[in-house]
Amino acid sequence: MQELATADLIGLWIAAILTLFIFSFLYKDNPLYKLAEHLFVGVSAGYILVRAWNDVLVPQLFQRIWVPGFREFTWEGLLVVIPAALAIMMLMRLVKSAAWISRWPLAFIMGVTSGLYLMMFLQTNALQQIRATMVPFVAAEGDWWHILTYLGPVLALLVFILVAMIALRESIEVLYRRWNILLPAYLAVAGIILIYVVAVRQTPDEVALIQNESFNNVLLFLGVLSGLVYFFFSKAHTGAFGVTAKVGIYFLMMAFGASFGYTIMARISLLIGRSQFLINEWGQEAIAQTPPTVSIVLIAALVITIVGVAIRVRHEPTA
Amino acid sequence: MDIKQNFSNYKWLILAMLVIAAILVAIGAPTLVPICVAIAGIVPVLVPDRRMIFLLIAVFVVLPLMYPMYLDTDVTPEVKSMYDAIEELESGSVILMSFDFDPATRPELYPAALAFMRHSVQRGHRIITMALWPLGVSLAEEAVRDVIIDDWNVENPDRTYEYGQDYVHLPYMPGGIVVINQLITSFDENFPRDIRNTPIEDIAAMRGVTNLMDIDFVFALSSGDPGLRDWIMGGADRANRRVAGAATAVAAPEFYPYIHAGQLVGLMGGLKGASEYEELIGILGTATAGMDAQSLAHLAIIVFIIVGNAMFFMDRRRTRF
Repeated sequence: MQELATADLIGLWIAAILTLFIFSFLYKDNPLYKLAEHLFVGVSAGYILVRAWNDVLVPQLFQRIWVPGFREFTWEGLLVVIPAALAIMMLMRLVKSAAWISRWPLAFIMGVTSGLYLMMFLQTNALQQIRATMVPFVAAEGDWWHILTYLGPVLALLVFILVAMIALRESIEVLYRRWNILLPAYLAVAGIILIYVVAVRQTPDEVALIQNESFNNVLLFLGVLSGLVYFFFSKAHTGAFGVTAKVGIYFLMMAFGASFGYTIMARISLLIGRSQFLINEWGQEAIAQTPPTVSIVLIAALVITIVGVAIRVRHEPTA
Repeated sequence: MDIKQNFSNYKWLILAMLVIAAILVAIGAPTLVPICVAIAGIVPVLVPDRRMIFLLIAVFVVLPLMYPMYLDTDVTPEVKSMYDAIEELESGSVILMSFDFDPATRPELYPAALAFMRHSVQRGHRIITMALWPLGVSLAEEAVRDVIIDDWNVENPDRTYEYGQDYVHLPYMPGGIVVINQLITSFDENFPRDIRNTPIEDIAAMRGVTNLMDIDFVFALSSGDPGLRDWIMGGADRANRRVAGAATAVAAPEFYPYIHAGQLVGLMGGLKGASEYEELIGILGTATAGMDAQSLAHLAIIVFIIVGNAMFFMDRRRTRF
């Protein structure tokens, strides 16, 4: 076990006590929880202030204007006066009569951020994502496979329409009117699945890989299509369109379910982190290295405080 | 206290505990079965309201930490691809680690930082740390202390990592995407000095690094904005650098589309992702130690959801007829 310095030991004890104060909220909102919460906010704000002073203002502002000893003077360094002035203008929010001045730096920030984000956000979150959804439905290698991979859906669509026309002895117009505007999409999906099934059967060596990738790609296509249809509100969600939108809802619900599962994982992880701290660092290191009498007194005081506060707030409504 | 009434009210909880006990036996972890049975009998008496759920989750988290069961976890492709990318880099490559989180998400992201830094040090890469969040700087220093100073340098006295030579801490810089954009042009314009106030041009670890294009791999630990998304926009899409990251479990699902699109090399999602990386580098740390607790707590929540829903539908049926 690593020998702890006295300052570290005190730090561990304070951290453990504050952790237990925060956990006391699970019983009821109480003054101990409030104390720990306010301490956290205050200490964080103070730390951020010091960091901003040391890491930003000193090197980026003061040291650029006043190079130590004024040995080097550059006009370029004086450019930082502009952001400094904007920063001071931002602080004018604190003066009621001059609060309007803060709108200028805010406008500058909004302008710069919008300009930067406009192109980068579009590129990363729209264009690249659209490109990523343009995937071959039959994911297989080889010369003729490549042709089939990309032409497959189109061929499938044509074949399927032809078969449907022959089978139903009706024109495309009639089919279109009867089956709604999304008929081509349905036919395409059906054709894709048809091609996928046929294709997989013809390549026994790559069956597993092709099946997995192709299945994922088809699923991706269906998810994107139905999800987009759900968010298309200019047409009533009835008939085939409504069914597609409903499929979209199911995809969305699955996504929400995954997010919910991850959220639970996150919250439990935080509890695990604190529990590991209490068991390992506080329990096995801090308590073990603190003189037994001091440990007993501190733990007794902690228990008495928490129980005392719990008794005091027991009749207040539960949070 | 009407104990009989409590048992009657919480018969579903008792059922849930027994289901969990049965599942524990089925997955080969019977050590906690007596505790489940004891909870089924004791908790409704001691805590006869909804707060017993808190108590139960606490029990299911704390006990596996004290008595590990060593349940198996699989390595996912997202984590493996990140590991492979670091393995493929030549020794001495420059890795930029951005600590864009604060102590509020430390339990999730810090193990990921440790695992990734360990791997980078094992491979002999140069490490530059920076932070788009003010509290990230101290977390970077702490990670270096845990991985390099207290661990690597002690175990490998002939191949020690030295500050300024093999790794360097750059200070906190506000601005998010603006900072990343500026890094594409120049490092020293944004970071004239490191956190020890040494001019950047005098730091050996920064040799050959003039802008983001000279960075071989970017690893962002992200718990919000600014964070990994900004690194994808600036680092991956604009600067064409290889970017990977660790995100809190809450945010992880948002990043899967970027992996699919090839914009993100890999992703460690929450504690689970970190535990997978620990498994890959063969050094089991706090993330792996927490996975038993994670699995058991999830099991309890799944059973609670199923039993709760069953109870809801049965109650509704009863009131209808």
